[in-house]
Amino acid sequence: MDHKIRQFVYRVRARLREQKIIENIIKFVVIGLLVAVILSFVSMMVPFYYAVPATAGIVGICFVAGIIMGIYKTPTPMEAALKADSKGHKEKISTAFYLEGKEDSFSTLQKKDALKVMEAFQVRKEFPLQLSWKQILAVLGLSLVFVACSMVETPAREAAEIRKDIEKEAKEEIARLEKVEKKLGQSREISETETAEIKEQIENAKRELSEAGSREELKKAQERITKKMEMAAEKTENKTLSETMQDAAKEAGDAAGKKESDLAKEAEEALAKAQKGNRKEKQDAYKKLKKLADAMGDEALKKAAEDYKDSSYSDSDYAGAQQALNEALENREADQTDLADNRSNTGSKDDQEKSSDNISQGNSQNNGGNQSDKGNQNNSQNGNANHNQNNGQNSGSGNGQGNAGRNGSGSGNGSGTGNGSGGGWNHGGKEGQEGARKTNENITVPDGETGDDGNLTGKANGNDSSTKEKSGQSQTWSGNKVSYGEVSGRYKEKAYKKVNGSSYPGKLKNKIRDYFDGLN
Amino acid sequence: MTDETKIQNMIEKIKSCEEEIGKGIIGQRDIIRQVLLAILSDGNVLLEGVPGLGKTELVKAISKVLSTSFSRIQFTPDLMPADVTGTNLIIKEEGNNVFRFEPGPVFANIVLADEINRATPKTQSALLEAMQEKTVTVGKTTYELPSPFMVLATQNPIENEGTYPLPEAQLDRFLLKLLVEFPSKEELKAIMDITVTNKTTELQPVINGEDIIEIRTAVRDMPIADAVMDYALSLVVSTHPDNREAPEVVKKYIQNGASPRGAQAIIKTAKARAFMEGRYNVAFEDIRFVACPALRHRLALNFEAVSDGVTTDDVVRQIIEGMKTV
Repeated sequence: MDHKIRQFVYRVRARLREQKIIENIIKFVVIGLLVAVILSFVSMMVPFYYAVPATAGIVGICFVAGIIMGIYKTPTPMEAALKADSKGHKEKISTAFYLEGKEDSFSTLQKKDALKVMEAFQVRKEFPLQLSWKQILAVLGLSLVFVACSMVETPAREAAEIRKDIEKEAKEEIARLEKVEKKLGQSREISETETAEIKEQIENAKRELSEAGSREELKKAQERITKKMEMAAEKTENKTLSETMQDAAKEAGDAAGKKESDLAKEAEEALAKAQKGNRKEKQDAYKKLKKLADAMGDEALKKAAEDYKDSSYSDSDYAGAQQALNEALENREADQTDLADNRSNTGSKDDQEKSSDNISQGNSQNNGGNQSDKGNQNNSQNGNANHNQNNGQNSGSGNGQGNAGRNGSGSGNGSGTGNGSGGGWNHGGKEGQEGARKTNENITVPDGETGDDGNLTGKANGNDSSTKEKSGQSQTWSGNKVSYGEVSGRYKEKAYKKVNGSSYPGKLKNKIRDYFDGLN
Repeated sequence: MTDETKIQNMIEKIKSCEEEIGKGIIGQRDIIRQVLLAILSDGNVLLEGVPGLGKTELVKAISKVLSTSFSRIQFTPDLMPADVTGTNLIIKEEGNNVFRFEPGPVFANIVLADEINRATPKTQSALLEAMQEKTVTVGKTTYELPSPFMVLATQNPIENEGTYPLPEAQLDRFLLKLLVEFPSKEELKAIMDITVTNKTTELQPVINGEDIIEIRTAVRDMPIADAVMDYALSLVVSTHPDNREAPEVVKKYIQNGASPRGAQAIIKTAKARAFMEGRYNVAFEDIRFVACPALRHRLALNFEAVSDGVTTDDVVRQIIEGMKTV
């Protein structure tokens, strides 16, 4: 008899638990949705990319909390018995449950009486699972508000999305750096000092990446890191380290290129879809164009994308966006071609070691080989300058300043810079030129002479607008010299350390870093 | 005879007793039932109501149906305690003068103390021992009263001139205080039919003293679940204004809460009610049913309550409303 009574009471209790769980789930989900709506509202004004996943998480947690609370709030067996009694059974069930184990005549009679009630008691019918319509309406209403809020596009949301992309890219870059770090750690051929030095640089780079607040900052940080790797590769005498750093720099460059080309492809596809697509597709096209513009630093494309959006995706602005995209892609393609040329111009390490070649480059005032395309002269110029500074074996290099168009008719304004140091400086003696642009450089080329056009690695301008000049500011001296690269490298390293350890704002840090990078 | 049959027989007897009393008393169903509850719970009853509502008739009817000894004491200001309890008389026995105790009217199974508030406190107090201990002490000798014993007292609430309100200690000894209400029009008509015609209603004894004692024993065995007991005790505790969890109405209007006798009264009468209902357990509704009659004379209202016209019944009802069963 006692067993039957207990079984019945526990059956009622299980049913009540189900009800409690349902009630609590709804209650907690309502709370979760309220928080979600508030978060969604906040994310409309404050950049917070993770608003949607965070709210989903909150609602999920609330759901689980509802279940837990439901279980926690399950009535005790006696409460369940009293609940059953509340259906008009005058405490027969609870008394019978209370009398468990008692066998006196009154108790037995009471239990028998209660069992009759229990037999007729239909738990599911007496305790149907009830849902509060008010709460269900609240859940539906809040869900609708949340979805509506989440769909509203605001500048803060856009900023959050960009920020998230930056973080993602920074993470990828950091992962790459960690890979390099690991590789360095595994290699036995690299000295501990060098490993520690590179690791410190990598740590700094990681910090820089994680501190990047905008796409521009990230890009600059990436460029700096690549450059540092290249420098490290050139500086070291350890072949393994050099290769590792070169590989890492190449990989970083390739990744950046791939990223850009992926974005370009996505933007092209999205824009094609947007032509006859719905508003969502147009919005998507705008976002992708903007993303590409940010990645490429193309202001024209960015403006075209903004115009397209501001005009509510009009056809005329669509054409503008299309044109801007095409131009940006063409420029990008040209950049890539020239970059490849520049790479071949600046040469491999082997080429750099050939002092005669370098001398002949140094002879040239007009570094017109890269004038065939606008924007590439700088690459050429930088490439050569770096080369000279770093290996210290060149007697001079052209500093192309041509404004030529893509047809190669631009004018070149070259001024040679020579920076000879170390073993090779003697070889370039005769053809070297004094530098003009980099006023703080130590020119160590004796008897500086004007270079000949014949030594140009590129093509001389056809319109004869190129000028050759001799700065006359060079200083010559003999004796032991310290390379510019070495000095500026040390100087820069000190500045970097100081900046990294400081509490300057990110932008200011970048500015300082850029300045020291610019010294190269 | 099985236990079940025995208990069922008892229940039947009580039910027929109730029906039989109902034949002589028109209406007042709740009063009849509550008086029976007091009888089954071994308690005394104070019936309060204006004159002419049949209080005395009710007690007479009960005494007839119960088939027990009955005595009536009309309380007046000059009534002496010895008139109630009895006294020692000097009698001549075998040539010697000796004291012999002559029992007073209190020596009966059912004692009707009519208009109890008309007697002086001294005489009223003569009933205290009888009501609580079921004994009477005269001189140095204590006499046991017959069993079952109960006092059914009546009092008139509107006449204050020449009355002596019962002291709290004595009030507390009444298990229930019943308020006899004016009958409804239909009931009044039925009363007229009996009283102003030649129709007579002969009441038959249904139950005797032994039966009552047996039923009382059974009622005491009635099980009560912890939750129900808690409910009753919480009710009593809530009547104390100094209790932190007491409702506002208690804090505002009650001067003194119910004594432990109040809790005893509730549980005992609730058990009796469950028994009369044919159940083997006490329910919350039993507690609610007996709460007012068991507590109304045990709560002392403050001046504010009196000025606001609040009664103890109002307070008890409000306490019950605020209590949760599950």
